[in-house]
Amino acid sequence: MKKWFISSFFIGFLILIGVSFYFELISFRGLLLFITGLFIVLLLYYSVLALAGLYYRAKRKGNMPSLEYYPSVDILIPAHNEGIVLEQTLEAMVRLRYPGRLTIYVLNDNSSDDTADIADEFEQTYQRVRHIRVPAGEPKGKSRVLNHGLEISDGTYFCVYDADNQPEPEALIKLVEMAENYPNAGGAVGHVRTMNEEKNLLTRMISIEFQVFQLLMQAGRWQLFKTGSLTGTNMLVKRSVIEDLGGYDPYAIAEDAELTLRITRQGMFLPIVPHSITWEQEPETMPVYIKQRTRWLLGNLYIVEKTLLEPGYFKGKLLVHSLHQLMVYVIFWIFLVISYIWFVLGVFGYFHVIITIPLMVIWYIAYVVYTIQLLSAQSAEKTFTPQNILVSFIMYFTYAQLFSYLFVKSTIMYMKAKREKRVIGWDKTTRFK
Amino acid sequence: MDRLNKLSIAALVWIGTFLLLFYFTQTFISSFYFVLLAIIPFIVFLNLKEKLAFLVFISFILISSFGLLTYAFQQAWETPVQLAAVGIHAIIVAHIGTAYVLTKWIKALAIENRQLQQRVNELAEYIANTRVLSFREFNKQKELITNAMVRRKETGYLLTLRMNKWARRVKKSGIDLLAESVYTSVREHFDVVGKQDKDTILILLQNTGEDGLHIVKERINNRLEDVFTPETINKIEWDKEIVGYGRQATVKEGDAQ
Repeated sequence: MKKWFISSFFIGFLILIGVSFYFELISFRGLLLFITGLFIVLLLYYSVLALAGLYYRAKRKGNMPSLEYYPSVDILIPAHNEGIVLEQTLEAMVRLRYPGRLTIYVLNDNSSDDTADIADEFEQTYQRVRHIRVPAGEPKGKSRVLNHGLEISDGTYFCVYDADNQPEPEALIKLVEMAENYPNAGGAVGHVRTMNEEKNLLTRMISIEFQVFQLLMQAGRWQLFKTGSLTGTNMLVKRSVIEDLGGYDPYAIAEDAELTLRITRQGMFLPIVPHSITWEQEPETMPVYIKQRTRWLLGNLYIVEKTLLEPGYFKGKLLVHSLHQLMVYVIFWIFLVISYIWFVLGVFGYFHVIITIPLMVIWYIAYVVYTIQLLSAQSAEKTFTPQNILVSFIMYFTYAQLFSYLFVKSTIMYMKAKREKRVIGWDKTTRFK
Repeated sequence: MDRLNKLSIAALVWIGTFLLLFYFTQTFISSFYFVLLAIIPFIVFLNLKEKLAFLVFISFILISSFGLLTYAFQQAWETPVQLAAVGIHAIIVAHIGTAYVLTKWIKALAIENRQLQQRVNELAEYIANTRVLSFREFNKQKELITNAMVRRKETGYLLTLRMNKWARRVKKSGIDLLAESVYTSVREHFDVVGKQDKDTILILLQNTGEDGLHIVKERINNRLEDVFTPETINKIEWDKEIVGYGRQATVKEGDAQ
């Protein structure tokens, strides 16, 4: 019923535009002006986000006073064939400074490499480490493994780290201090930095992109709207909160984003803690990168569908998240495709329009705003190097354009899976030595 | 990439953008404004704190960009005019951006240099060009000497001379002269003299009683009178502490012994 309603709404909207054009109720110029206005608003919004993020970072907000009592925390590390990176990860985990009860669970999801041997050795050596063999089951993926981790643990909080993560010793304590001190917090979210940034151009670009995400989408949005997003790693959540919500959605591929929406819907906060830092390995080759990002986009399309079909996603603070999902994954993408088609048709002389809107200046400002965001992120993270500055200038023309390809690929995959009534499987990111 | 290369590249880009700007706009912008464009960003960025300087930098870019857009709308610019305006704006942004980067790296270099100098001073045995020990070396020797004094059941004094009340501008020259005067007033290779910080001199007198302390103080005062005015000497704060065997609490003596 709901699907029918939404499909009818979109079809009706398109028919309305077509009819309006036919009867000259709206002109091409009017439509273009409307889109231009919308685009300028978007650019202004992102500029304000960058400034707000810089303010949040400059004020060193996110640091909280020490606690008299530190509640128990369970660290959950889902691991499927993570032998390449697990040893370094557990070395960092056992160095975490935490005055309360801390248990580190390696959730071994049927690994066939030496993951189990490494986890066993750490379990036999360290009081805090537990090696848990997760029973096989469906649907495959991180959500199901995390749900198993929640069943076998009992801490007041749980904290998720990916198996390639190396948190700094103070990372966890800062998250707990924020979650305990901030009123009505459902947890807290730290920062993720790239450990293999220097490896090649791709890893450098991913690193810069992460820094921007954390400046705008985390610090900036928190400063302006008090909305934070769980990032899948270096994130702390109260056990009582997830129990009330019924655990992770096992079908969600972007389980962090999905959980963020449900926690926000409950009226709880997820404060950002920039000084809680974990170092993560990013894809070093293009095929691995494409595979990872396709998975993320599929996960986000699932959330877009959920946002549109389930009630309550356009209320209160959740509105910020829901609008963002729709703006990026529906509206922005439609504009992007139109602009590409327009550009190509224009180049080959099939489409020509004389219009007095300064499109060239608008395009230039889009480039300036994008690059400013990259530079601002580097300023906040103190990663201003000649290499990063140079890469920032070319990212718009290279890395950013990959989004369109990835989005088309993911949309086709998603539609195909829907038509065949198939569950989209989890795809593990390949690690590098 | 080392610092020198970084700075050289930034300087080259800065000069390049300046020349480009001059070439493209010389017909309608006077050379006076060019000089301002070259100097003002440097003055602003050098005098602001790092985060504020960056905020000023990006605020300038954002405000000027949206200002350009508003103007382009008002004037209904054709594509060639838009291209020219965008080109010139981009060069100005690159020029000011390089000025920001240059000042940022120069300031970082200066801070690092200062920190390294402090570290060298900490590690150095003697304060440069004097026979006065660094604070670190003084503490090391003090530890050895006081332990030996306890074993030998001897008493000594730790004297602290503070110049907090001296005029700011004469402190730097004064402390070295004060330290040297003190050094020549005590027993060479037996008592030790050290510099705690930019305002404080420490003297460790071994195996010395109340009488010995009095003699040393008088000798120091006599030496000081050769160099400093009586008002300046009166502004020196003296503290004494008994060290070694039978150590007692610090006795505050007040200004000018």
